[in-house]
Amino acid sequence: MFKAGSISRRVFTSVAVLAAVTTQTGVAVAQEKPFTGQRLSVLMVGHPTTDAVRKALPDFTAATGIDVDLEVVPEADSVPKMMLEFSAGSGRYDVVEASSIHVQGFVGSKYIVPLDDIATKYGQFYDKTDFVPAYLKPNVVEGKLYGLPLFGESSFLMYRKDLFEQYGIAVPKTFDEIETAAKTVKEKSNGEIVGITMRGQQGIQGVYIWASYLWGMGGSFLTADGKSALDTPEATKALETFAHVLREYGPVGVANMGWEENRLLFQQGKAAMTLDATVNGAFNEDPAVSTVAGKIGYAPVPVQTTTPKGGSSSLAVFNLHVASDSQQQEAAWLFVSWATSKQQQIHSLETDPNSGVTSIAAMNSEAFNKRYGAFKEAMLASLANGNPQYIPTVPQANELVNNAGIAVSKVLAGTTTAADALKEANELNNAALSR
Amino acid sequence: MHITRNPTRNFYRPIIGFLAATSAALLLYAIWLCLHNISLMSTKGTQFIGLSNFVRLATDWRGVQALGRTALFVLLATSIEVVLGIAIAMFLDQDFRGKKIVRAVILVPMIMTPVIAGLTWRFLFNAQSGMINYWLSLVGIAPVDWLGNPSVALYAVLIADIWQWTPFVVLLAMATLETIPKDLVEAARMDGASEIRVIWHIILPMLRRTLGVAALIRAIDSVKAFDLFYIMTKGGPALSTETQNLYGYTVAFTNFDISYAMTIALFLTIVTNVALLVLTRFAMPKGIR
Amino acid sequence: MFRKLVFFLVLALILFVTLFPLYWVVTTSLKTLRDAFAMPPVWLFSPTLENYGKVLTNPVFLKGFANSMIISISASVLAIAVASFAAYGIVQQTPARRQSIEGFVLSLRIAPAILFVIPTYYVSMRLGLLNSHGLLIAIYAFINIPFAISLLVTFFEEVPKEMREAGLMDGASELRVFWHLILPVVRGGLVATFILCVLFTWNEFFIALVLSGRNTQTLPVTITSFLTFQGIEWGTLTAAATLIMLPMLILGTLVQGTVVRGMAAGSVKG
Repeated sequence: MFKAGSISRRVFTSVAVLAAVTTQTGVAVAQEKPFTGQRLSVLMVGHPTTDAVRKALPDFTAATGIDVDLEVVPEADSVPKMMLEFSAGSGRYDVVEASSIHVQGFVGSKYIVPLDDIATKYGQFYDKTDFVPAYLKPNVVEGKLYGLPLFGESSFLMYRKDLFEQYGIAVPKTFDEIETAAKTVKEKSNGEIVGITMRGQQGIQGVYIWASYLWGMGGSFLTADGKSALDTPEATKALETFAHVLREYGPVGVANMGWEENRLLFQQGKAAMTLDATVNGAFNEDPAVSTVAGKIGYAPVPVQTTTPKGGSSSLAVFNLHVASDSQQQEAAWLFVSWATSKQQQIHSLETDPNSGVTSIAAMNSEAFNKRYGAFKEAMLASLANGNPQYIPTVPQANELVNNAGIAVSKVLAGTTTAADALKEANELNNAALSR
Repeated sequence: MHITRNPTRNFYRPIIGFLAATSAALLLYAIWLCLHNISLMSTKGTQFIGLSNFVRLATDWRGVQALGRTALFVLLATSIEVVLGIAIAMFLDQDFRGKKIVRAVILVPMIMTPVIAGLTWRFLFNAQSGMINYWLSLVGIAPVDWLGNPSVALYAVLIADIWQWTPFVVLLAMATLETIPKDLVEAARMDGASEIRVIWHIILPMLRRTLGVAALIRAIDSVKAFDLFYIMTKGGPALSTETQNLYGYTVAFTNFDISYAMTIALFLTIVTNVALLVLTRFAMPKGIR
Repeated sequence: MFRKLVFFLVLALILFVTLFPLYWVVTTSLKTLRDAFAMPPVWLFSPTLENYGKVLTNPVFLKGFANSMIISISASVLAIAVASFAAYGIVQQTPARRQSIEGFVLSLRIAPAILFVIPTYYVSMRLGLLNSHGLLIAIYAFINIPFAISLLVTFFEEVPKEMREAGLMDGASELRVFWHLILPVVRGGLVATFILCVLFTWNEFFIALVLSGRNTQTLPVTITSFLTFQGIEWGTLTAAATLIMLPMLILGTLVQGTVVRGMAAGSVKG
């Protein structure tokens, strides 16, 4: 633990000594491999970070003697899979990767274990101070550490600097200004360019973006005493505004647009603005897939009220947890701390670059700055204001999001008014919360 | 028959017996699940709750709507596929070069992996970069929001389903048409019967049974349709493509409410069976069951 | 002449609509990312095999391919072996008895998968069978048996009754007649039924989605893992799709006639 701390500072100061340091760590670990021969079963979601971990697994095995079986499934299917196993107490997975919205539920159901004691004992990969604090925080429940962040993101507003200049538009700071800007773009470009594009797909996709409006307008998903808060005037206003701007100035097909469709539309230069995850910056700035590289400005997610109940930019973190049913919790911890270690994260920037690294050292590396420098500042600012409760974190989170998603989708499609749709979702959410 | 004990029964009895026993056991287990409150997210423990889940389903607007949508989809898919399929089969019922190749080509959609068919149609229907809107734009039609407009999305999935399964009816009907004696048709034509009369009075009656079989099978399969919906829309937008089957899946794997999901599945099975029973008893020609 | 022209024009339209999605998958797999998304579409492009390279070096895909092979072939062999006995026995019964047995077999094909997938999950968990190929092989065999019985019955009833009677006359046991006389005659039907079982198992998605694990994931589920959290990799996706479809398109074309017969089997009274 102590030793790892001193190493971290050296890495921090100079990337040049990195090679030497990693070899040194490697040697130090090689001398003690108490878990040689153990075989871990790990469930992770499809993501570049996961690819990087897979490619580096031989290093982990070499350093610890632990073998790893890695199962990778799409994010949407991963939670049902681990839930079935957890609830049956099958002990099938030693380590799982899940979004931080599940941490509370997992802890409440005792599906995952606190790691503080093991961390003190086996700290060779672990450096608490190297994690972006906002990313580490959702893993701490009642003062205990329940996981480590593997990758994370926030959200921000992306806009076309060239178009804004051409049409004389200022960067929007409120949702009304977004609407005005979108209107201007649509009118001045004769409808050639879409004012703003956002995800509108039913379910988490639409809710993930709409939540910015919800929080920014002063609303929230839950009241202070844990009831649903979707039938409030703030929520209604948020949904009306969100649906209106997309229906009037958004792209055709917005109601079925997920992350992918939205990103493509924007990076093909067909829209003037989008509100989405920080990771999109990497795609915008990659000339191999983007026609608008270098033309994009990045700004914080707008807020409409001076007294929001929580930040209007998201904070989504994917963490690695050790399962309670695991018979090899020490080895599992070593894997968790290795996969999230600064060495592995810096290494991942070479094999499978991705802007969602959670290590401060990785973020300060040359590779990161070269690739993601264009939006790094804005991303860090969004992160600092990121709202960890952005999406509800109660055990019933999935069902709440599902119901809210139906309301968003209905209003976006114009089949119901915002007040009616949210009233319905509110009742369903209260029923789910009391179940 | 001088042998009273029939040894051929031993060939199927153990197998049919095993199938029956296994299905009965699974069904009983399914019912047991329906009568409890098993939720993967609940820490309350398993309790017997009687018929609460069924009461909940009876007053669940989302479930009722999903059932209606399922019925609509089954009705449209089945009728369009059967009518279109028979029309194409009759159209192809003549001698021409390359008929064998045509038959092979028509088989392609049916054997294409459904997940891949779904992905492909999802992209073809893409509002911005999809091929279908591109063609529409060539003839001056404004882009249609195929998968994003709740009054269109179900029909977009329907089109994909029609594309994939009309060939089944075509090939089934073609096989039947080939067994119709050509001289019968020729004789009628010689007698001066119009083409419409020939089709209506001679060809269609002979296709009756095929028609019934095709409709029955398409109906059963479209009740169970999952892959296309899951890949193309996942039930959205605004629930406009959520069928009963998909609703059951969402309840089980998004809300983790296993018992309620089983209730939905059991209810759907019962409704399907009753509908089939009624249909085969009263609406189907003899010889099909 | 005009009639003929109209005929071929309509025929061309039918073939075009039928084949376009397949054409789109295959050409997209040969395009670079830029060409794949170009609008208006690029019709002429220089094909690249880069996507195939990526797929064929992807361990997850290769594993899925192996799993799909193992599971669909084993499940189909098992189903055919069991079903051929049953079908032989059923064909020899009186029409009334046949009708009730075949009716029962058909009814097994009606239930939606979710009804038995969840109970199956719990049961197999208790038995510690999860994540084993055996589980999926057993499930798929179980599903294929009713189908194979329905289809094989149509092949067995084509065999002239006299053949069996002559065999019995000569003093052969029922088992001997079945094995040495009848089975060789319906060989073609067995192969066709086997191929169809492989095809259905290979393409099946829902059961695999819920019941397959790290070691047993089949291709339709594997391909959805190309739909990652961070988007769809259309190039690799379509290349993988082509590789998944190709064997089945070839097999399906080989047994053309039987595909339709198989799907309709059991609902037509013979």
